[in-house]
Amino acid sequence: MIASCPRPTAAVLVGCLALASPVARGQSDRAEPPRGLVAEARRQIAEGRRLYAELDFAAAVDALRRALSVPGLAEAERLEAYELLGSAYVALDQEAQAREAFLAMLAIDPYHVVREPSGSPKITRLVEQLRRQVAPDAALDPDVVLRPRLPRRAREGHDVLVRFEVVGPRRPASVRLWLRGVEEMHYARIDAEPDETGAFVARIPSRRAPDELELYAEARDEAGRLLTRAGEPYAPLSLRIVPSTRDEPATPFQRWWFWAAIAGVLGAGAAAVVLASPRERAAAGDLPPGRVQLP
Amino acid sequence: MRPRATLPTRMLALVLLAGCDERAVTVAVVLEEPSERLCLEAFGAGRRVHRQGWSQEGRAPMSGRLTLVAGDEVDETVRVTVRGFDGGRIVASATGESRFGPAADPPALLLHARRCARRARRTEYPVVRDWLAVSNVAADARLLAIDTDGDGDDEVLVSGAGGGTVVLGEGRLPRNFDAGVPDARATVAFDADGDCALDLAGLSPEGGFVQVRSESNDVRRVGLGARSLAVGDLLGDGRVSVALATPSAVVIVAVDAPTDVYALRADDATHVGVTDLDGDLQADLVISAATGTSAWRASGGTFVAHAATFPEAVAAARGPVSFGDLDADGRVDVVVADARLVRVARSVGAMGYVEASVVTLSRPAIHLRVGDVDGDCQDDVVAVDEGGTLALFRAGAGATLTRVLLSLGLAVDAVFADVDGDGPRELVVLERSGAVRVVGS
Repeated sequence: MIASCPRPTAAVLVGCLALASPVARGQSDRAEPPRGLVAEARRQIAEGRRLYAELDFAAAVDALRRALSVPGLAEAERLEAYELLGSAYVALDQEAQAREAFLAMLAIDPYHVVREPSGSPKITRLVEQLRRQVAPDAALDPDVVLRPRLPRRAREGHDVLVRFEVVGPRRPASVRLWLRGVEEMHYARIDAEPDETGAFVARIPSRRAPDELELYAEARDEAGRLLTRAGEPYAPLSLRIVPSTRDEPATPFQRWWFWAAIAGVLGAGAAAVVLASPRERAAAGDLPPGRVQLP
Repeated sequence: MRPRATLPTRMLALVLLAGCDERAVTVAVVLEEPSERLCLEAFGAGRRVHRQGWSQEGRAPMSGRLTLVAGDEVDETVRVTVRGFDGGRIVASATGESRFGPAADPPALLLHARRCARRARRTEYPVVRDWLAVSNVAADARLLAIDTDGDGDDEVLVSGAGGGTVVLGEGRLPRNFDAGVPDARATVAFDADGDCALDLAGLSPEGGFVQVRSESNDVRRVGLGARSLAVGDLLGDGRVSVALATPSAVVIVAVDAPTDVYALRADDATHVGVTDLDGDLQADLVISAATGTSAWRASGGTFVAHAATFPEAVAAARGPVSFGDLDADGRVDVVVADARLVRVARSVGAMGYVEASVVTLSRPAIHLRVGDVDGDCQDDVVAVDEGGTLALFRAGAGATLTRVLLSLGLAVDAVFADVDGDGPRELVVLERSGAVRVVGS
């Protein structure tokens, strides 16, 4: 719902926008986010990541909450921010806030695997407990790995075969590939078929134009529960579709000697800069003596 | 840990890097258990390149960061072990590895030192595999897990009549080591002198001994006729002391001043253990004697017998005693052997205990050990009886024990050790045949 505006003056227009409903405002922001704010939010997430690594959990929470208050942040960034925020709350022993953050994370991707660097069992336990509430079909098994075998790139006009090898004690009953191109909003599904080696192979139909495909795969058991994934919707694998080759005469850019000469010049320049510049020192820690020079 | 030779390619890389910015790693440590001292050891190119300890007043959880700057003798990575010590005993540890990165943005190696490490996937039935065979196994031989070089992998020692042998792993001790006392059985690894290096204590036909291996490698005899030995800050003054169970009393001796002796009357004491029963961060004693098992609470540098701590059946037990956290609630549970029975007294806080489980052995237990073998951070129990039968019990909800079926030969002793350095511990069993088997991952 949008509030009605009596006269179309600039001041009234600003007031009207401020009175607009949250839904309408959110949709508007997401459609065209303010670039400066989003850039600042991204900086705050990076700051939160750094503070978390340095065990300054309270400051990390502040930075991440600032980042999450910015509308229009991409889902992948919100996912990471909520993950860090929940982990920091666990470290601060604030379980209710941690639950709220992790639930928000799972609302974005209910199968997201937490990548918290210390592997804290307390965090893992809480996330798995919450995941059971929101995703009953999740049976994530850390020992089952789906290894993607993708070509480095594919050519337009040709089908592409992608292969997923299964490693671990349990074998999935099915593997599904999800993919989308740069101009597509939603992922499309392709079922992979098992081959004679035990791997699963999916055939991506030929694309009619160069593209940058985003893709991920899901492995499920007989009961249809998700065992593991290769890539995630918000951290997908990528596959570049390049134009078909044409018989054209080679330009200097395609000659090896051209690039060798460039590399030589750049290498000599870099060596001169390195030798001339002063050495940068790593910041000291807070355990005395702060820095230790190893032999 | 075996030093690695410097390869020509690595030498070339190091020469090239010498002209660049520093390479460094920031080690961030969180010590989650109450400890008096934090020790850090760093390894590069297969050898130790740094060791340092920090002490603190009180025993609050510690955290902090230290930047390690690479020199010419280390390669691309550094392995770091941190350990928390309390009363000389290791109460928490963690090991990790990181590559060096640019000084402007060095990678962070985050180490959470905890009492136990979880396995990513727990095995329902632990795997048993042969490791190696040892000759001349004495009937009274003892196993001891000890990480002598601090690289995160435990070594396993067999010692008894005829001397000591490192049967698993490689560290600071030679393969055939001398505990300094004839026919000694090393039973405890601890840091006697606060130098972050582990020393040994144990029993011999003559009594208890402590071998400080740092520089002097001296051996101190700390008691005659001792049957059992435990270490901790028993005098409440920050010094490490040894408690010895003897036929007439439990004797407490300061390691750095063997003339400082304090005795608690206990007739025919056979086993003594040191732990914090009431969570006040002071070391208490549990003594198993002719009259049963009793709790002695630390109080201002002395100990006071605390009647009615244990349930009646546990208090009447007269066998080996051990401790752990069987229900993962952060409190110390007590496990006692009473003839053919093993009883668990679960802590409910404030020196209160309830009997949680009773299981049966074929014959009376001679060794009782508590440790987490399945990686769930609930300590499990292993018992070796007089007939050599080994029984492993997995702890479940409420510290109840369930026996795990294992196909093993007659055992001499068993110990929990992290032999592969991955964090969680395995169970190592020495059999009468001389086979050493590893049960776990």
